[in-house]
Amino acid sequence: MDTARTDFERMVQKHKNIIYTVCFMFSNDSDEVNDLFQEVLINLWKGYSSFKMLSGIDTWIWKVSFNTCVSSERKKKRHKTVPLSMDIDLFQDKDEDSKQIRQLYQRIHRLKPLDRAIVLLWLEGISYEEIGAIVGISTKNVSVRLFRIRVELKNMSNG
Amino acid sequence: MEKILDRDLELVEMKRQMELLKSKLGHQKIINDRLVRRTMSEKVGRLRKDLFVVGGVALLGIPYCCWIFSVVGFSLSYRIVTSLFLLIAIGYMLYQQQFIKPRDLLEKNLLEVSRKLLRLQQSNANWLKFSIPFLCCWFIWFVIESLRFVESDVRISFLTGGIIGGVCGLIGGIIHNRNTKRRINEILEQIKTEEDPEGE
Repeated sequence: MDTARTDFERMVQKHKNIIYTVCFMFSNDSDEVNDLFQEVLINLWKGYSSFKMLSGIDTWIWKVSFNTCVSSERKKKRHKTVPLSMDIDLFQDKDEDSKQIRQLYQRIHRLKPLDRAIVLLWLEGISYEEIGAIVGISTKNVSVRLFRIRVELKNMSNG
Repeated sequence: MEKILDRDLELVEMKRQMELLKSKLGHQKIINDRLVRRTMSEKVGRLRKDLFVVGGVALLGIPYCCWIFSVVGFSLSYRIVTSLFLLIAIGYMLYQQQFIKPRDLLEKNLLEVSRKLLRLQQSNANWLKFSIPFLCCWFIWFVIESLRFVESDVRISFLTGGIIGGVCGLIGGIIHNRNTKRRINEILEQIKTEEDPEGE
């Protein structure tokens, strides 16, 4: 159990950027980011022992993160949880980089959940095939959707 | 299609902003840091509490010992030496507090904290080197004083009480020392894991 736990912690440490990015893009404030982050970790832990390496670990983490964020219900009350800590609040930090990141957030956040997932994966430089595998659509569909997302983003900036 | 997207200025800018996000997140630690620090801080809090209890007992011991030893007729020098030892014990307890502040665990660099804890361990070892021989001599002196000054009809019961008290004190001291050592080692182990999670 201890070895599995240590391995899991290392895996999370290595891929925390993926998890946090997805949670950030699917949240409205830092409390929600933390709640989602914790839920993703719980779901990753639950699936960890049965993860059979049929896909890459990155793909699996993307999948679990997206599925958790897309399907999670908005919690009105904050339930008592272990206080998560990444010492960062991208919603409040005032430095130039955080402002740029919020701009990115505002663009992506206006998209529908599936489109958010697709554009995030594309921005990560993931191939169309893999994007399709993660979100559960065909490669051709990914290509079409990305083109539509591009148009939608353009309309948002012009409108 | 991919080439069109790659040339789209807006998407290019979004890619750049994504890199900024990854760069910012790259410097962050998660979960374990605060949680582990909080756990360690709680352990340090318990260490301090134990020290205060020992110090409190020593503080109460001074007037009590002075009174009881004067009632049974022990020599003034014995009472003075006993009180001095208890005062030194209290002073030592206060000195040790500087090594274990729960707030340090939450705020300070963990390497600095682990150095303080190692000094605490060393300080404990030094205290035992002094206190164990002293207490052995003190107990022998106690027996001599009991045989010389305590009235014969209560001598046996007084000595018995003293021996039982001595044994209880010895057991209590051993337990306290072992718990302190164990807690310090647990905290040091957690700091080691936290500072080097890859185990390199």
